[in-house]
Amino acid sequence: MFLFSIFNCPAVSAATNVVTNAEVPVASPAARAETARDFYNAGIEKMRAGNWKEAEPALETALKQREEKIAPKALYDLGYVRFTLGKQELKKSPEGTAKRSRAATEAGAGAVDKAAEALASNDVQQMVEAYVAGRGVRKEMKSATAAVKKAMEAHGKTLAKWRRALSDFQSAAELNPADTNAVKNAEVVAQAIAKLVDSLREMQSAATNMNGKKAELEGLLKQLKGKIPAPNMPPGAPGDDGEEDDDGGEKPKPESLSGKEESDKGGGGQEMGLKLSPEQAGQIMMGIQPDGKQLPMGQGEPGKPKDRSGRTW
Amino acid sequence: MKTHLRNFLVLLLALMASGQISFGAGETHFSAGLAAYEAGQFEQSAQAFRDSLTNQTAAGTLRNLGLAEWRSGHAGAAVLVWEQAAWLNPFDHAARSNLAYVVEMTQINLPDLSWFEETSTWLPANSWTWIAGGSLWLAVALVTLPGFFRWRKAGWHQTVAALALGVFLLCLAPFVGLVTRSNLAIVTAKDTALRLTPTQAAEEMVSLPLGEAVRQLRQHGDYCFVHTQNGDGWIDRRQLSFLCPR
Amino acid sequence: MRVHFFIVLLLVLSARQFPTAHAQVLVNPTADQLIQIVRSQPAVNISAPVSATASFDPPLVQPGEKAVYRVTFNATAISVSWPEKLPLPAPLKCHLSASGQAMQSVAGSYQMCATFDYEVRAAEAGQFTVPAFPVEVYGQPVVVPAAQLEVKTDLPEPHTKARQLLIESSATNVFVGEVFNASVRLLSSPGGAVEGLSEVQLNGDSFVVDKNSVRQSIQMIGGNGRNGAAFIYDTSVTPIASGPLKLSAQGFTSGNQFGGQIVISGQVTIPGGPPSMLLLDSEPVTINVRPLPTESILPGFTGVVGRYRSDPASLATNVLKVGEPVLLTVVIRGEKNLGRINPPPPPRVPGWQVFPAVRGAIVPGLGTTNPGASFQFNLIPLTTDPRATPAIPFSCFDPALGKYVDLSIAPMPISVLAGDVLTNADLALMLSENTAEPEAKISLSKLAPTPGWTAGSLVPLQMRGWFPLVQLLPALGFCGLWWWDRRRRFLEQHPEIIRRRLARRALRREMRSLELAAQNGNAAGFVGCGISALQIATAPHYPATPRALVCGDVLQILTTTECAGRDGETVRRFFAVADAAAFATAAGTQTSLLAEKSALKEILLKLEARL
Repeated sequence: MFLFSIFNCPAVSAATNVVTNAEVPVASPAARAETARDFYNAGIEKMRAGNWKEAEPALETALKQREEKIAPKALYDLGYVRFTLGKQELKKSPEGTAKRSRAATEAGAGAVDKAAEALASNDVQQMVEAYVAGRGVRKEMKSATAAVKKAMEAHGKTLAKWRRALSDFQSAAELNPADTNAVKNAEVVAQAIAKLVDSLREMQSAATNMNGKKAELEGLLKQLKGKIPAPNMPPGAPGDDGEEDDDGGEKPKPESLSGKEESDKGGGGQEMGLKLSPEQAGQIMMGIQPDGKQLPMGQGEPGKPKDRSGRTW
Repeated sequence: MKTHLRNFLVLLLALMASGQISFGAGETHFSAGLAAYEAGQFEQSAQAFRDSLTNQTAAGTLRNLGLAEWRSGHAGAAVLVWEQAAWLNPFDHAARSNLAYVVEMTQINLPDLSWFEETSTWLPANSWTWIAGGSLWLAVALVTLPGFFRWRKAGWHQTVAALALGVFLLCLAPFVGLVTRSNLAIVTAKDTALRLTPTQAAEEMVSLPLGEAVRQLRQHGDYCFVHTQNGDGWIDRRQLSFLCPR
Repeated sequence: MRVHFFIVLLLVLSARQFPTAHAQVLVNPTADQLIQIVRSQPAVNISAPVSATASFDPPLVQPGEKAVYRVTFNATAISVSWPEKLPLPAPLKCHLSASGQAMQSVAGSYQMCATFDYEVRAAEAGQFTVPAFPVEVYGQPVVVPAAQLEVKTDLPEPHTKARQLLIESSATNVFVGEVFNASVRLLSSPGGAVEGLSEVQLNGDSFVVDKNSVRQSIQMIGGNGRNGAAFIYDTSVTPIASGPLKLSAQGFTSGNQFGGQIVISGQVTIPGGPPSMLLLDSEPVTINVRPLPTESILPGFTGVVGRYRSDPASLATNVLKVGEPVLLTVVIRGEKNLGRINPPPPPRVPGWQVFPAVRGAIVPGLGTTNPGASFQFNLIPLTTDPRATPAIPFSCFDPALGKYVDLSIAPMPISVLAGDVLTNADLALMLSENTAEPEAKISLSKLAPTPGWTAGSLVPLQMRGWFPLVQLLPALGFCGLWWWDRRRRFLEQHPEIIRRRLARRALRREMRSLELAAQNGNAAGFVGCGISALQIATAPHYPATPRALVCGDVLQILTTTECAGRDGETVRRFFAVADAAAFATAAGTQTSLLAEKSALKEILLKLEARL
């Protein structure tokens, strides 16, 4: 019996006791696996060697042989392997992303206030200071966004693995009700999943706030850039301003829209590939022109009815 | 003696009358089903045909029930009852053509039959049993009874016995085919999937459409291990309906 | 001279090809131009905080009267994870009557709004509050505020009722595929103002709505107890399934914003200001859709339902050449749905190659009525034999008559001249395409008129519990016969067994008679029975008939000791007395033998044991 404690990450803080019961005698490594027992033994061997990635397909193949005697044990061990693989994925997640994201958002809020103040005051020096500060904060937000994205990807992969692991433990418990370890492990994995989901939500919420602030800041920086005279413009690294090729400016999509794909059926007309930067796309969505003005709706001034020369109702 | 005879005749008449009554009730439901179908009320038509089947299992009723189920949008149930109609009366080509129509419309897979199961479809199900049983005992009788009763042996005894034995041997394949065909089932529940293990939380491998034919290989609790043309796996029994009611 | 030069200059200039405006149209607009087009459109605001509003319309009703519980979010409908069950108080009975989304203009940009309408009725009076509850929108919880409904028994008439749309159908008994008109109406408010509707949607399973035939109008109508103006949205609907189908309508009130053309008749008042974008719906109307009859379908039926007639077809020319195509134009006239008529399939006729019909333009009729849909068939004669174009079967189902109407295109007389020589391969190909058997179309069968073949059960006989037992019966029968035959043969080979069995039976019978005779004091009978018993007991040993045996035969069966002893004496005495009684004249001493009953019995028992 092996006792493992789960990696202490922000998503899962409690130590877990997911147990394994690799008891089946090991077959000769040189023998070619043909039966369910052979595949199962090969999987156990790989588990013992710490080769989790190869253990998973071996145990899956053992299950696919449909031998009822092997199934509960294979399910149990497969659940354990998947849980461990999930933990490994979670380790790739950068630490403290939510906290970093919140810090970046607060810094962004400060930079936005400063930039707005500078724009209102029309003081060139103030504007330059605000611009430089805003630029730095924007860089930090960009890197925080990338970290959040990486963390969310890792969390997503972990979640997928752990959900499979939960199903495997539940199935093992269903096939062998006497196996209390399977029940216990299922509970542990369920708790771990709940915590992971909370962590994901927290990261998402922080990312949404941060991106909102980032967009606001970028708009103000554009305005500042437009107002600061060229000689007063502070030096910056090439590519610091202007179009960015990475997708740092991309807003996280609402959960309900994620996973949906555009149909790629050809329509009736010619298709043209447009190379749009994320900023341009964001501007289009927000209706903001390059000079920072809002686009008018229809003709005439917004908010005022047009002059109509016709009958009035 | 006369009293006993009278009582026996009364009982016999009562049994015949009850048979007539149930037969009559079946006919009433059948007619109601036809009328509802013509009026476009397919759900009610299907219910009437089902009621008719509880009184009497008939191939025509099954065919009509299938049409009503199809029009009501229950493809799985329609395929099941058409298969049952063909099981009952293989000479009714309408059920087979309806199944071919469904295959074209929905791209489901009909049961994949082995050669001996295919032969069992040539005649109604119980015909093979009667023929096999009758020919076997006829052969045994013609071989043994002349010896027992010291009849003079005639050439035709042996000829008929040989023929009967031959018929019996030929009937063995469809006889076995009937038994294996009774393991066939149709998927009648939505969102049915082949599972890796016979558990509720099992990984789902392949999704099966309504009306898909499966063959049960073994059972474990509430789950059946089935073979389909999309692979093998476990299915919850409640999502299947067997050709032969269990 | 100057004038001449000027004229020549004009001529030269006019001869030049100046690029015209339309020649400057760019085939491939650049990315920047496209971005400009997109940028010039109003923005869609999806970043504003999501909020929800909830209200009852009207907030005061009588018991049993309809009220609409309306919840609106400024978000897309798909992003709202709407719960299946609402926390409505128990006395309120509700069901979801409509849901939808629309765009409304807010502060210079568009904003999506999603609305969920519930039809609510209270059975009893009281004040009912739907508490605030959270709903997930874009993954975040948004609180739907509480709303109150007051139900009072005594309400003055008239009082405000729930706003709803009216839907009217031009027909409620139609056939599958028969087009009918549906009219959605929004009556004016009590103040007389008429609002438009946007995002109008007809809800109902198995209906196809023709969006190209929408007509919007505002006109004065009378109905529902009052006259007034109403916004009317007319469209054509086609049912595609049979049975009783429900059709209802929903739409957003859009104030003075009308999408598309609208015809306004009479003096009407249209409100100004931003539209309220309330989602209204109508009570459903039941349309009984009958299936098309399956019997008496005429050939060439392609699903056309309606009142149509076909004009005489026209040929481009009556004099044809082999291998050269000719155009046959057919016009089908009717009032509705001309754009959806499916032309008949090309017939497969020997000697002709007929291509599928090509849809032409809509042909006007007399005045504005009776337009027609035109179709053109390309026919190619393959030989000089044909004297007329092939008949093209076509039919439609006339719902007014309730039967199929023949619209077949009649043959037209032609003469075919020999054309260019076709190669054998070309001709063979053309002929094979025409003479190939048309693929049999699989379709559902008709209803069985009778129940047909019956059975007790679908379970095969061999899988029923009693089947093995029933098969055991003949097996047991044959086994029984075999055993019987074997026994008989054995007995035939061992007849002494039968003899001894018969002898034992007869001996017991004699012994009973002996006993009886002894009891009755019948000495003669006693002696007779005794002798007879001795003979019976001895006979199987020889074998012989018992009556033929004498004393010496009996004594031979006894052992030497018995013979020399009392048993032998007894036997001799009995035989002597019997012989004397039979042959001697003097009276015998039979009576004295009665005393030797026990000795005789002993001997008989010994002899019986030896059988």
